[in-house]
Amino acid sequence: MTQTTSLKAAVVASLLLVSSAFAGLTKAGDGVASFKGVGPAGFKIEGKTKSVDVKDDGKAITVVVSLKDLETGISLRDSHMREKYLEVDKFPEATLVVANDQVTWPEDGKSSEGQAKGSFTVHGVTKDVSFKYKITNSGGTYAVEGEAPVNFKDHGVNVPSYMGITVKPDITILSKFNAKKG
Amino acid sequence: MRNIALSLSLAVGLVSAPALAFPWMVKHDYQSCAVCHVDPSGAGQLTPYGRAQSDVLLQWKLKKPSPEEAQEPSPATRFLWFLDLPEFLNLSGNFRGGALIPIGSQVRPLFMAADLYGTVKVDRFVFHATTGLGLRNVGPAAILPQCGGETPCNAQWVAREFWAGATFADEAVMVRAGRMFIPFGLRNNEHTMWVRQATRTDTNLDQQVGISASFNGEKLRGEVMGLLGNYQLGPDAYRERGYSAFAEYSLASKVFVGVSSLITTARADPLFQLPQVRHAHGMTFRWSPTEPLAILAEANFLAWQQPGRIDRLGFAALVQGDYELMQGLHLIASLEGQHTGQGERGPSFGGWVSAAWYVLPHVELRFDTIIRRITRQAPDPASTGVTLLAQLHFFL
Repeated sequence: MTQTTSLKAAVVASLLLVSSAFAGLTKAGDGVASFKGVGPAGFKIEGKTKSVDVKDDGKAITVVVSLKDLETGISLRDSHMREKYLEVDKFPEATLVVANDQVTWPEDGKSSEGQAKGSFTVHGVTKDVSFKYKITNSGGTYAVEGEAPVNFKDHGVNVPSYMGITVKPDITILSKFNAKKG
Repeated sequence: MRNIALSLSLAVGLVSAPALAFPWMVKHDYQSCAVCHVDPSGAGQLTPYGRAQSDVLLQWKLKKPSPEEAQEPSPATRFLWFLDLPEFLNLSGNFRGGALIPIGSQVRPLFMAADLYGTVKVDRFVFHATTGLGLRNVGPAAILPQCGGETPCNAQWVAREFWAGATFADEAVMVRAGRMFIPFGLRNNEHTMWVRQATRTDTNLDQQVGISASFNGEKLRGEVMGLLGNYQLGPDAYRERGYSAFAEYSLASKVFVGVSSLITTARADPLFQLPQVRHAHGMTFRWSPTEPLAILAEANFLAWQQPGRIDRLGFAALVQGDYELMQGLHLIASLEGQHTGQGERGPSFGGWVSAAWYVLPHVELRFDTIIRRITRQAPDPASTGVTLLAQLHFFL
C-alpha cells in the first residue's frame, strides 16, 4: 500500500516536472528592447521600443520586437532609421530565437546568468548570435535581461551616415522583459 | 604693446555676444559637443551635422514632428542660407545686435558681434580661425587698433579663435595648438554670467593661446589645456599662464556630472599690480529629468594669492532651468551668486528670466531680464539693478 502510494506520487511528480519543463513562457507586463550605437567624436545613439513580445513553443523561446515603434529621440533620425536603413515596411520585426536548453531557469528567489546562443533576425537576414543573459525568479515571475553584440552590416543594413557622422556597424542590442511559465 | 589690463578687469560683459553654446542639448542625450561644434568641447562654429541639427532640433516648430512628418533640414541651413560648400570647407558667421535697457536709464543700442568663422578639414587635420569686428568691450579679443585705458576706440578688429589640430582614435581625441576657448565649466550661452566672468572663462572674450588635448568618449569627455597667455593683451606681465581642465562623466542617460580646475600665474594683476596665482575649481551638473526640461548647475571655489596679502577666497555659482515650451521656444530661469573675495560684506546674487525663440533657420530672438544685487565693501551700500536685454542673432 505504502509502496503503491509512493509510486503514484513519484509518477505524478514526474508528470508535473515534465509538464513544467514544457510549460509555455508568456510575457508578463511591459518589456523593452533597445540598441546602442556609437560614432566618431563621442557620438552615440540609442533606440528604444516597448513593443516586445515573447513566444514559447516548448522547444525554443522567441523574442519578437516590432521595429515600427523604435524611437531614438529625434524624429528625423527615426524616419531615416525606419525607412532608409531598417526598411520596416518590408521587415517590420526583429526576432531572437533561443533553444530552451540554452538558458537556465532559476528556482524561486534565485538568479541565473550566463552566455547563450541564438538566432537573430533583422532586415530579413538571420545570423547566429551569442548573448549574455540574466534571469531572476521572483515568485514565479522571471525578470529576463539579455545583451548581444550585433554587426548590422552582417544583416544587410546599410551603414547610416549623415552630414559627416557615420555610425559604427558594431552595435549592442538589449532586451528586458518579465515572463511567467504556464 | 597695448596696456588694456584695466579694461580686462572692468569690462562689463552684458553687451557682449553669446557664443552659440547649448549645454541643454543634454535633453537630447547629446553629451559630446564635438559632433555639432568644431571646437571639441563645444561653443562657437557648428559642424555641418550641427547645422542640420540646429534646424531639426533648434528651430521653432509648433509641435514636435512625428517620424512620418519629419522633414530633411531646410536648404536654409546652408552657409548664407543657400550656399553649398565643398566637404573640406566650413564657413559660417555670427552676427548679433540688440538693445540694453537698464531700468531708469537710457536705452543703449548694441552691436554685439560680427564674426566670420572658417574651418578647413583635411583628413585628420583641422584648421580653424575666426575674424570680425567688435565695438567696445572686446579688448581681450581685439587685435587692432591699439586702444584702451586713456585711448578709447569704438571699432576693433577681433580674432577670438585661431588654432590647428589633429584628431585621433576615430575623432575621439583631438590635440590642438593656438588660440581657443578655455576648457572650464559649462559652456553656457549666457557667457556674461558670474560663473564665466569670475573664472575668466567667458566663451566670448576669454580665449587664450595654448596647447590642448580633448577626449570625447561614450560616457566620458574632457579637455586639458596648457595656458600660454592671451597675446592680444599686453604687457606680458598681465598674461596668465597655467592650466585649465574639465572632465564630465555620464552617470546615466541624460545625467552628467563634471569637474573643472584652473590655476594660472601672472607677474601682475590688473588691480594691485602684484604677482598673482589664481585658482578656480568646481563642479558641474547637467540633467534632463523630462524631455522639455534641462537643469544645469555649476559651483566654483575661487582663490587669489598674492605675496604680502591675505589670500582672497570667493565663489561663483549658477543654477539654471531651461524649459522648451515648444520646439524652438525656450523659457530659461537662472539663479547666480558670487563673492570675489574683495572684502564685500556678503555674496552678490542675481536672477535671470529669459526667453529664446529660434524663429527662423539660424535666426534667434532673445529677451533677458537680469536682476542683480551687488554687494560691495563697507561703507558702500549694496545696490540692485534691473536690466532688460533684447537680442537678434543670425548665425550664418
